[in-house]
Amino acid sequence: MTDSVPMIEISGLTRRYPDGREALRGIDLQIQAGEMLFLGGPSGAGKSTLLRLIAGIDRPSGGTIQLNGQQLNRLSAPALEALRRNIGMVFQEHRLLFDRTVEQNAALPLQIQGLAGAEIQKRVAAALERVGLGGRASDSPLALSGGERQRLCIARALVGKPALIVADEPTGNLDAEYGEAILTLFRSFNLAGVTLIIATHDERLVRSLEGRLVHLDQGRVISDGRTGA
Amino acid sequence: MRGFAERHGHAIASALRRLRAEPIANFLTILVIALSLAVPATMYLILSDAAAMAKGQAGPPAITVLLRATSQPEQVHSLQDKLTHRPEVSSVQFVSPEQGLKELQRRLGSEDVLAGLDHNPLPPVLVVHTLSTDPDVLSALQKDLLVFPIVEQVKLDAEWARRLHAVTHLLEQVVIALALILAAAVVSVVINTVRLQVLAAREEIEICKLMGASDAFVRRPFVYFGLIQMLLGGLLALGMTELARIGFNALSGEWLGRYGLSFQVQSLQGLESVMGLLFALVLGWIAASSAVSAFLYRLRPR
Repeated sequence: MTDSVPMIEISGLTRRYPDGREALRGIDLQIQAGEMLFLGGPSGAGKSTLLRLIAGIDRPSGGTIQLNGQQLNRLSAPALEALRRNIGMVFQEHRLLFDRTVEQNAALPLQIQGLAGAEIQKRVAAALERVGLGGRASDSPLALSGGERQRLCIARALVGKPALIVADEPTGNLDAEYGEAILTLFRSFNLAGVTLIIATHDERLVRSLEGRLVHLDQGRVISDGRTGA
Repeated sequence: MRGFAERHGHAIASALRRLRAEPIANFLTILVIALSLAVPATMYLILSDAAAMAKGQAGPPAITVLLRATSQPEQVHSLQDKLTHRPEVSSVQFVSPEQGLKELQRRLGSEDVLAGLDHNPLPPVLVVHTLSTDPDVLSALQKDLLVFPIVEQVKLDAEWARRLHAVTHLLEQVVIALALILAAAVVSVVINTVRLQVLAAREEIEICKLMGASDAFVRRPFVYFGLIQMLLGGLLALGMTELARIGFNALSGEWLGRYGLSFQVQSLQGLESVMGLLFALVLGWIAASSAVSAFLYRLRPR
């Protein structure tokens, strides 16, 4: 842990759903800018809930989350939207629009940001090239394999040049070979200075990569250590 | 400015894509909107022309002002001048006792009207033609006239004016009530159509919201969808109204012609058509915005 001000500071975080289920029971966590952090643990441990709270998709029941000094609990809905526009997000179930092309899917965050068409084209082409989908721009996502779809999700998360990317089980539906390729891609972003928070239940896959592994179980942090070589 | 145009260009393209995706269902919706707009528009045309015809048949309301026999020409002229400048008055006609006598002789068909009388007993008269048929306006004018010292008596057929005003007022109320009912129907149709579109695009909206899309970004294509439907419905309604007018004129011409009467409904004027279309667009905007906003409210993190 360094002495610098953390990018994300989580204190006493709890989340109780309307049905009474407690997904998080007092999480304390500090994440520095430029870190590559894996959230491990079994299904139902609270990994996805924690990611949703960090990304401002959901609101906590108790405790606080600060992102770059902004306390998310206090932000209005439009302010949370503005915050999310600067966070790259990757989902296990891809969440692609199948009535649009690969290029149009990747362009969505930039359209939301209101960028001009020429800038969008330039950035999308670069992002697709970066994830190895440069030649598939005009294809439908239906024509892509599972691994390619996940790479398209990563391109979509990357295209806005975010300082923070959160990924929920990005390798969950992939075989080991594709999974490793995806994590290697994430690692390259991290080396370029992007902070990454990746939730995964497959801790064997992450042990080969250098980073920080926070293990959750039943809504609590049960271990916090280093992975990889 | 370019970014603004691109954002709206994307939204319009998205709205047109949705319209093309279900052409038959959307055409039927546009047809319902057109019918709902065309019915009150046609009623408005027929009733407003009928009211105008009723007024024209009856002639403009007139007030007969009987002046004192001692009135001096300059006093009469001054009163006539003051009345002419009142906004509710269209014209003022002076009828001297001599002119009045001639008119009486003409009507009675006898030149011996004054037999047994040593002088003409008819008073000088001002006949005041008004623009308004509103009985309140006419009564107020009557009171004002009685204040003048040269005015002996003021005769006003208030009952006739009251009846004409009541009939035209009733017709106007019927058109307004019908228009409001059908406007509510149009809003319901658009809300339901947009709501179905929103539900069909639920996944897309959720993805956009996850990526931080503002409510305006999500709402825009659906608002354009509602506006395009209303624009097409409004244009179709204008065509339907014109067809209905031509059909009505043909039928009424044949029917009223048997009684030697004629009544032709005029086309909607350019300004009326534009105002009608703008009204339809405002309804579309309200309906589409409320349909999307209700859905977006449910997506807000709590």
